Amino acid sequence: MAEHSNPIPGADGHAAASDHHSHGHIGRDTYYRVFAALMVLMVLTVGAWWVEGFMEIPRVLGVIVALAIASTKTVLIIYYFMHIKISNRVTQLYAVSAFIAFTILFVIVMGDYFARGWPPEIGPLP
Amino acid sequence: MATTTTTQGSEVQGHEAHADHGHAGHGRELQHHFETAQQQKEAATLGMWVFLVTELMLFGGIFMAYAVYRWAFPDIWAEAAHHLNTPLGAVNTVVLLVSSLTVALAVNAAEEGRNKRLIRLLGVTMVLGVAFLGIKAYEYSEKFAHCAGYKTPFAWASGGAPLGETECLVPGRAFVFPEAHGTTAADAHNEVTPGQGSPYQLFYLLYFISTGLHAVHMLIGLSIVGMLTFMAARGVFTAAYSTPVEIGGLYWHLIDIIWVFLFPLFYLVH
Amino acid sequence: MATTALPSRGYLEDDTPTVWAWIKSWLFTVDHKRIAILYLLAINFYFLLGGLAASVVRIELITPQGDLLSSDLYNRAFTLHGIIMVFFFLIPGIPAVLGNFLIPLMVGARDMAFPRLNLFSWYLYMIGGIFALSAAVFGGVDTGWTFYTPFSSTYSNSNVILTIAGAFVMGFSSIATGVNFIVTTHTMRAPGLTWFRLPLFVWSSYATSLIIVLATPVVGITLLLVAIERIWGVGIFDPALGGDPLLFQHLFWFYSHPAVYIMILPGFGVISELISTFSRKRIFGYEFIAFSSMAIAIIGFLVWGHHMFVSGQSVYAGLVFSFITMLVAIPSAIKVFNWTATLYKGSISYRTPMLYALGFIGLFVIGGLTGIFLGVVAIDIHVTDTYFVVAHFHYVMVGGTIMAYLGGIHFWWPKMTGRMYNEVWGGISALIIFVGFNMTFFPQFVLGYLGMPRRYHVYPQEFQVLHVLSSAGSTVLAIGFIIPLVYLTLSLWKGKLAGDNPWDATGLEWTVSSPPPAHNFDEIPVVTTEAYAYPPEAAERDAAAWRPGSPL
Repeated sequence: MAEHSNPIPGADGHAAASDHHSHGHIGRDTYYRVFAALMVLMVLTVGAWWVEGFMEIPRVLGVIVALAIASTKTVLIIYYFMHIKISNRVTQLYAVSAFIAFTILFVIVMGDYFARGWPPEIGPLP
Repeated sequence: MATTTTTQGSEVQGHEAHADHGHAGHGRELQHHFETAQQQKEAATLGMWVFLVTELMLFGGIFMAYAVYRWAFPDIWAEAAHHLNTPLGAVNTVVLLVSSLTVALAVNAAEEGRNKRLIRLLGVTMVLGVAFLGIKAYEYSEKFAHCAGYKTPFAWASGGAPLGETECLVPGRAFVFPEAHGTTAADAHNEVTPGQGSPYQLFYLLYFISTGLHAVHMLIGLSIVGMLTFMAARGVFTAAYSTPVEIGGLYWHLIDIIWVFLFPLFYLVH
Repeated sequence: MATTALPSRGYLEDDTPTVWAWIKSWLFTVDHKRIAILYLLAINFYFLLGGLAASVVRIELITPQGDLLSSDLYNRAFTLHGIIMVFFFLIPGIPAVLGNFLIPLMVGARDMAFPRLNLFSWYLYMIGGIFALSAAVFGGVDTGWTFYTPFSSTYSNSNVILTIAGAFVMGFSSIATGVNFIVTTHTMRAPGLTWFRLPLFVWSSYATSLIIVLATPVVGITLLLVAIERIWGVGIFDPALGGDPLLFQHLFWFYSHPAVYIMILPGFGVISELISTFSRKRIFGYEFIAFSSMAIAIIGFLVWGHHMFVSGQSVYAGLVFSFITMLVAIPSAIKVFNWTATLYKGSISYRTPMLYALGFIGLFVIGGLTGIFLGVVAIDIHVTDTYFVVAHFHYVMVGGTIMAYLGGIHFWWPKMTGRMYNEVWGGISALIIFVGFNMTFFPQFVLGYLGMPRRYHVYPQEFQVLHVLSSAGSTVLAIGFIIPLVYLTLSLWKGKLAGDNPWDATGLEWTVSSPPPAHNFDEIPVVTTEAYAYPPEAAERDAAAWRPGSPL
């Protein structure tokens, strides 16, 4: 494995990715703290739902709150539990790429549906 | 799935590969085509992540269908969701979040080479996973019991109390959504009938498909964790080599993430 | 690294004592090169099968009446042709055969990152293929390869579920290949092999893998939903049960439009290699070609709605999709211009692979430009579902992907087998394919513009001349496809030994022996030069050294 230490100019083959890796380490207390945060968010989301049960809140707001909480949970899990915090850049990009692709799908499809209305209208909206 | 298995040891191909190259310095877990253990670990982790991207997009299609139909039938969605067992759903979410913690701790234990702790944590994870599936199965059987005309699955098994009203929330020809009490929440433009032709069925169809697909992933995840426990018991993992635990853990967290979205989207709808 | 010098053996050689052991050594191989050969055999089988179905379609269309097939059988024939060609030839074709064989060699690795996953993907492909084949044997499918709902989910009484299962399993096979390519490109590159020293084939395969990984699962779940709807009679895409058929089209084309780039992008990569080698010049605008592949991969995700202009999607969506569709032309044109600029002042030798490459450029330009016509909503409404569309996508798929596939197979044949094929027959068949192809599909542009709808087996008398011309062309095309099959097979025994680098090409794959040793590199190479490191005066020297009688 000696050849990896060769200082080749411009070399960043498979040796390169190794440079900035596994320095990071996530301690156990972080896991416990993240878990506590997840539990709090869990209570929050059910609580919000319970409040919406007897208060007149716009439906859209309820959806946004629920999804915001779910997204926060997801980010916490991905960032800490799944070690994205200490992963290399490529892995981080791939972790994000799924959400980008889904956003593309979502925005374009919903855009089409919004433009047509429900039940769908033929032709331009007035 | 296959990505997780590619890194566990080199028994299958090691014998000829090592003879060919004379990589005498390698540990037994380094495959012949990798140069360093670091490179192998990077490859395994990245591979798992790319695979998880495909898994997310697989569920993405269902979420897309969900978004369209929820937008189209908001009132029906709200009404239909009230027939799901939200307390059980909440308990299940907590179960999964705890299991995520135990998996994260298991990965930590593996990295530190504490094998006993690793086995214990993996065991707890499996218990939690089975508990999740058990609760899920109970929820499903409740719906099926209603179709059969009984109040609870236990009543169904023992021929106990029948259900007062006709209700069948399992999608299919027999689907009947119970008459709404008082006002019908029908959308202004849509003629809504309680039978199969109603969008109520769409809600339950998406519910069964997405939670069913999630449960399938749960089964896969359980078998992965089971395999990891077995390997840990055989002493495969050391502080220097714990990649399978790590990428198996990634898969488990993915299952958790999917549920984190499924729970508010199906159980917490107004 | 301590590497003992063992005599390297070609990957094709075996010392297996029995035939059974030999078969096992192939079926359980994890060597990427052997897996590529397995793919080569399987994919060519499906190609011939799809071609057979196409021949049936073309024979039926010689006369205006439906005298050979009933309309129902005709539907099944073109559906078989479409499904086999799209899912089992075009999508896996170049990545699974050439990509599997070349990517580890090109990046200087001993194997793919996940060799067993690689083998697994071949088995998935075979299982998917068996599903699709059995669907054909048990009566076929009549939905067209697009499986549009609610016809596929409710009304069709053919083997939709079996076919869907085939496409679904095949999808996971290509996902496995995509994951492997991505991870191999990221983590297995030899020391010194930076991203901008990678051959362009690796770049385009990487872009392809990106699309595979992000888009394939969506079509997987969509087809699964169709199957569920069919089995249990629940309506997620059925308007009678509250569903929306347009949702199916959105989800389907979210994959299937990028899938078009899954088919053509690896072809671009092959052509870049060929053009550079046979012009004896470094490629013009390396970075532009590399990034245009990535740009196509990304923009390809934003344009799927141009398949739905007349499906009832909103006019605003049509407007936006039409505009973004135009954007795809930019990176595609960048590639074509860079290839032609590479040819400029090159020492061009018209060997068989180069003939295919030049044919590719011509046909792809026609296919691409007619794509722009179709991207304009007004024209598209006029020619939707006519032979104009058929001709357009055959120019891109057949004229593009198949020309690149054949060019690549010829180019790397000496590396794969260690033998040269017959150059004369190679050139002849390349020309026959080019002529036959244009004869088959150019009349279809005219037919479509005059109003001949696709997927019909009876048509008015006035179209017969053009249809006969097209069918005659398809016969020529078929002959062109059979000739390489013969001389390539013969070359395995009769061909003269190729040597390590018969084309004087650059690239790591040409530094190893032909056929390559089982583990590619005894010592992992250290790369210090760019990909197409022909010296500036290479073309001039090459041209000056030409004597009558040396190969063109």
